[in-house]
Amino acid sequence: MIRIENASKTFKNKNGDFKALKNVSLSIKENEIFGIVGYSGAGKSTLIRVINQLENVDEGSIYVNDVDVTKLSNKNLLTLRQNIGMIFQHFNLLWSSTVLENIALPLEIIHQDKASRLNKAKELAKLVGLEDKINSYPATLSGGQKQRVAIARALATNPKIILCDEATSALDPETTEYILMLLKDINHKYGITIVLITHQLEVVQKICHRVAFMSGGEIVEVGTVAEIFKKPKQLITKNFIDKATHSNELYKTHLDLKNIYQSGCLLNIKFTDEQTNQPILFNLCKKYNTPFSVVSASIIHSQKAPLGVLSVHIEKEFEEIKELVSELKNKGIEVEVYE
Amino acid sequence: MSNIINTLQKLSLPLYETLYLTFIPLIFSVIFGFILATCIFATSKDGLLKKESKILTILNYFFSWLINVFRSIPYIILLIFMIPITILIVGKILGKEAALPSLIVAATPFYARMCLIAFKEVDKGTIEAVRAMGATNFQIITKVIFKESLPALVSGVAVLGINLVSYSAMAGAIGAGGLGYQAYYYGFVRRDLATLYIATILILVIVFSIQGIGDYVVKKIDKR
Ligand SMILES: Nc1ncnc2c1ncn2[C@@H]1O[C@H](COP(=O)(O)OP(=O)(O)O)[C@@H](O)[C@H]1O
Ligand SMILES: [Mg+2]
Repeated sequence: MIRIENASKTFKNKNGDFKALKNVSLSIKENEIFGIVGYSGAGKSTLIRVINQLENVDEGSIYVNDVDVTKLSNKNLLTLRQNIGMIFQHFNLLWSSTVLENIALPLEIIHQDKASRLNKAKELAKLVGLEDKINSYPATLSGGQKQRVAIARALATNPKIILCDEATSALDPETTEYILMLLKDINHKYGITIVLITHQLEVVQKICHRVAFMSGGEIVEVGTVAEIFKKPKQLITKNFIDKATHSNELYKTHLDLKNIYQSGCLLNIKFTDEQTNQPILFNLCKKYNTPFSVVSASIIHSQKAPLGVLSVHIEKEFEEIKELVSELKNKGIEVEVYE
Repeated sequence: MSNIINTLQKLSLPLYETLYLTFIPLIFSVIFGFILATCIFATSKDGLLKKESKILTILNYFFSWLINVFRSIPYIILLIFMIPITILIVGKILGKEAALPSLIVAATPFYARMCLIAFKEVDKGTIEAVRAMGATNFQIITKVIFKESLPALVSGVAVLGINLVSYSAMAGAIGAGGLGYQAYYYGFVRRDLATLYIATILILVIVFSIQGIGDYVVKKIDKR
């Protein structure tokens, strides 16, 4: 559906050039929720903006439905944009227009008549749960409500693709959850492909099918959420995930715990898919007669399967639990041992 | 009391002249200033033009230079510079009609400047969102820039109106009349303090009315 091939982009500044995209290639499938994750300044926004040509590339091609959008005439470019929805971190609504007028704006742009566009806007307001706010102005809405207006607006022209640039970054956790579920719903119901940029790993875990990690203008790793979460290939990806899942804090905690647990090991275990629902660790520990105590545990429900992170303390030296650890690993479970 | 009524009667013509010298130029300079600002904004690089265009950039520089020059000339000097053009347009150099061209030429760049500031204040993110909808530059200007900057444009009209009241006092120098000239003539030349005070009060009433109406309208339309 979207294919980016060898895209490069350099911003020319007064104090030197800045390479925001370095030979980026990426392929996004139809009906997919695709996440692009990375620290701020990684080039994520630049990458998503080349898809609807808000930013042009210096080199490379961008195919949307097999059409190279870098070669479109001005008129066809406008048509392309009219068929791609976009959602932003700061909502970017017209504060001088009501909720209904805001939602109807994309239809006004394509010269749809007033009655039918307001009808459609009402429908969409209902979809996002704002039917009682249609005559309010954005200034009177909460952040979550504003983003719902923005989502309804992005849906107005029945696009097949929606681009989200940090759509939940300005929202509190509960509102984030609501917006993500709304996006998931839209993806599911209408088969809309969603490209989602974020620096929040939770967002990716919750709704993305696949994810790309970006750093310094390059894509360092692409894969399904489970793959990348469990076994990141690149150090930078691993660091990012560890930070987001607080695994590195766990290590620090472990140092503190040294005072409590004078000996033994701390195991950091990650499991996915069906593993989450099975008492694997319990069974194995029973088999090897190894009691454990849980230090921390969390399960994140991602789009495809739950992902679990479990830290346990075992009152044995590493040599003694080597077999246990390797058997866990054989079952496809990620294990890190801190002695 | 009869004294005051006398003075007011004496001042009714100057009052009319001041209103004439304020509102006629106001209407013209708002229209011209708005158009000029739109031209500058539409041709500016940081405004809407993504692609560089030599001709438009030159036009942009020309328009910008124009408003900067005319905005920088003190009105009383502009008034004198404008005499040949005034003769050409109005056919005479004295009287209230003769003050109109110079007032419009002075007020237009002033309002254009305020429009430009208002246009540039429009949130870049909002413009980007509408661009992402596939809007043309024309649609972005008419449906976003104008709409979102309307309160600032209206409050600019009020500021301009107040400025024109004080310009019009100077226009008295070429026999345009008006309250300002009456205040100067009776107060300074003839030492008639009652007339000075009443003329001043009338000017203040005009200024405060413009300000009050402006604020009221802005409050009504500003949904931010
Ligand atoms: N219009 C621009 N001009 C110059 N530099 C830019 C421009 N847009 C982005 N950049 C630079 O490109 C880099 C990547 O930006 P961006 O794509 O916004 O990153 P992200 O969205 O991952 O935070 C940043 O360092 C930023 O300073
Ligand atoms: Mg960004």
